Amino acid sequence: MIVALGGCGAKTLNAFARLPGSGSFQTLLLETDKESAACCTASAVLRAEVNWAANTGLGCGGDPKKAERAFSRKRNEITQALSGQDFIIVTGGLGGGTATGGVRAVASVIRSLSIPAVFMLTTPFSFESYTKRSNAEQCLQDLHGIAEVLIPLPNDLLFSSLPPDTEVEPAFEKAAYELASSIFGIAELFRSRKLIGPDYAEFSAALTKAANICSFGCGRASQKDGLDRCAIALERMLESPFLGGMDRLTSCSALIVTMTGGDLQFGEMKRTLENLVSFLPVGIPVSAGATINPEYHDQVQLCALAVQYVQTVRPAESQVPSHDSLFPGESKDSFEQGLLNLQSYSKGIFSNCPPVKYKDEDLDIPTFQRRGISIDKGGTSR
Amino acid sequence: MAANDKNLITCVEFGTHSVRALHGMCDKAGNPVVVGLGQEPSDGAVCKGEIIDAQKASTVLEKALADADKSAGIVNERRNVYCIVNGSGITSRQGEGQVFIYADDHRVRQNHILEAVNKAQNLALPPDQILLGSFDSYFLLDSHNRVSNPDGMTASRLDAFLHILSISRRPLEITKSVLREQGFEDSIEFVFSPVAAAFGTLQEKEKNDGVLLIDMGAGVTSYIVIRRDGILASGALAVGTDNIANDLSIGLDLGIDQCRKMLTDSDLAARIHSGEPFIEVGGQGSGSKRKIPVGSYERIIELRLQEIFSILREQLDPRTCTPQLESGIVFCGGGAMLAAARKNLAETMRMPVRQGIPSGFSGAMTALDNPLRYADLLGLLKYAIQIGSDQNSSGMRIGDALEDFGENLFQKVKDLTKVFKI
Repeated sequence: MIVALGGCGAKTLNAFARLPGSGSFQTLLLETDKESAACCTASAVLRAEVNWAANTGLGCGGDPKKAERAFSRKRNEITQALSGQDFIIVTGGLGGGTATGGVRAVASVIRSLSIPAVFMLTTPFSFESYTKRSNAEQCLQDLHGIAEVLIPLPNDLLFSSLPPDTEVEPAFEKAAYELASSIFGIAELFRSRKLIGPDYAEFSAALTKAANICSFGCGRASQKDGLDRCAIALERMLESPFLGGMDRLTSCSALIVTMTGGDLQFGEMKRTLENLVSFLPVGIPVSAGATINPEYHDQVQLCALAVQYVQTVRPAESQVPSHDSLFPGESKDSFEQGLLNLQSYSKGIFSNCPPVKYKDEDLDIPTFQRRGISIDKGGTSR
Repeated sequence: MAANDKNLITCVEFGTHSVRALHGMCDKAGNPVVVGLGQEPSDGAVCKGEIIDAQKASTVLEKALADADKSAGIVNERRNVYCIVNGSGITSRQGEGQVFIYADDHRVRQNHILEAVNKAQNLALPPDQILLGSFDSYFLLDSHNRVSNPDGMTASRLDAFLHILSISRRPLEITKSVLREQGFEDSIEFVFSPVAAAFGTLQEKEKNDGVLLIDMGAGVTSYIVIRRDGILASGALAVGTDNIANDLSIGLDLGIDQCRKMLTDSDLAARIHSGEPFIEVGGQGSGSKRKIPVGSYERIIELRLQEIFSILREQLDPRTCTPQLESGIVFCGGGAMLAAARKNLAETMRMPVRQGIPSGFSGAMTALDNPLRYADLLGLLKYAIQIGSDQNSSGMRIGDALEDFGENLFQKVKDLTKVFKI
């Protein structure tokens, strides 16, 4: 099942419905705005009312807390809608209200139902407001630990391969199409009859090994497009905006790739995967798969998820001047000023107890405070 | 009616949540029988498994013992006691001892085993630590054949590996003084909490196949790894269910007692399971009610549980422990009553988990609201009975052996190795 949140989710589902072969997937839209919900072609729509005293049907006005509470009230319906599903993909645009707030409620339900799920969420452009970006970052931080597989897709990646003279409206339509194709590609990884291929556990292991940045590319081609349809699909995959260009691929730490086709030939599959692997650094783990879907007919689809593990930064090293330097005051690494954390920590009943230290952390301080995770304390009941 | 009973065994536990006293005995078949139980809230006397207010602890223990006497219908002449110890002051080490067998037939005999064990026990402990007990881990014959009991086997060399537990002097002396104040003058035996729980909850097959026992209480989460009847690892983390309640109290602006009740409220758990989106709580002082999202409640609990079990996982040596635990995990203590804790433990450790409900006990078991909470105390009763049966055959009191270690070393080591076979 594909679960989409908010306005971005609604547009993505509309684009998803236009993809061939997408009809076999169940879709669910979770929205607060009644107009956006009415325009969506999802199989099912669940609208949460933010202002339930007035029942206005308006959205949450960019406030994630309102959205989270609105969807919390619908927890029962969400649980019923998601129960019995084998696999769920959750998508939405972080930064606003509905998706940022609603995804926490959905993640909590999915966790309680113990259903494997992948969260593919877009993050705001770098030029968008600080509030949107910090809402998105906070949401991603909160989801770590709940969501087993979380793939953030920065909107900035859209511009890495789009021509700069592309008009705005078609650019966003292309973004929705690309996101829908990515979702379709991920769904195909686990849905079709596999000849060979990674399963959810392998997928999850690659993504939970370390903190990482993901990029996803998807390319399709058929025999009408040219003699070597697989090579064309590979080219289109490499041009996918969410892949972020060849640089991402050549510097990735792990790769999950799958080919889907209706009449996929062994020779072309082997050749294409070998060509793709030749772009990658030597020695990185690659999980490759091939699936058959008769609905594809003569089309082939190549999807790749490139995972780049984040190197941890050690601020102490950057402050020590290098003895090799001609100028003793200089250091090789540039100095980055950190943020001063003004949050006060409370130990509650353990205030007068000796601290329980583990890896320089005081375990008596609540875990959610040390992780910087915000908690909704609720409001007065009506 | 009052009566003294010389066969009565008294077991005591100073828990962070409550101080408990249990009277029990052994029936003719050798099975443990619970005669009486008493418990009183610790009221701040105990923190993270260690006594921090001796006077208060003594008062609370007095009441608990009086309750236990009353429920047993006896006046117990307080002489000997077995006491659970826990907390971050307990450390474990592995001792190694080696002996060459020069006999013509190269048969391993008791004196060889004792000599190897004695050498293994000969660890230099830090000055602030006292030996708590030593347990067989395993024996090696000729450096490669691993056995649990080498008696009668053939080898040129015997290596003994012992799991040695030690405890900080200060908390032990404080506990001893509190117990002496209540009249326990003769013998005080201290047992590490998961060791006691292992006696009460584990089956023989589990101890042979390999099992991880985790005892999660209000202030301390302790663990022990047993395989082929030997202890491979043990430890304690001074974090427990009170930390979960504290996190809820701070995160949701609720009172600590309210949070403790919420954790054990089965009605609330059923309502959440049925899909209710909010938890309604009374406002403090103002009287207005507040609706807390269930997601927030679950999130706080999950974060803390994930952290606790991840730390335990890191402390276990993956080379020697986790691959060999065919029986999975036995989970006991108050924390095992939380469904979220069991689920999280299974996910974090990636092993099957079962609740460690004590078995093989009879008597006043109805006094126990949930036997899961009393796994270590009931296990301590079984341990005491086993020691008693071993004492009868050797005539030596183990308490004395611990008290003045060094006299008659051979005899004491004989008893130590004989008894501390888990």
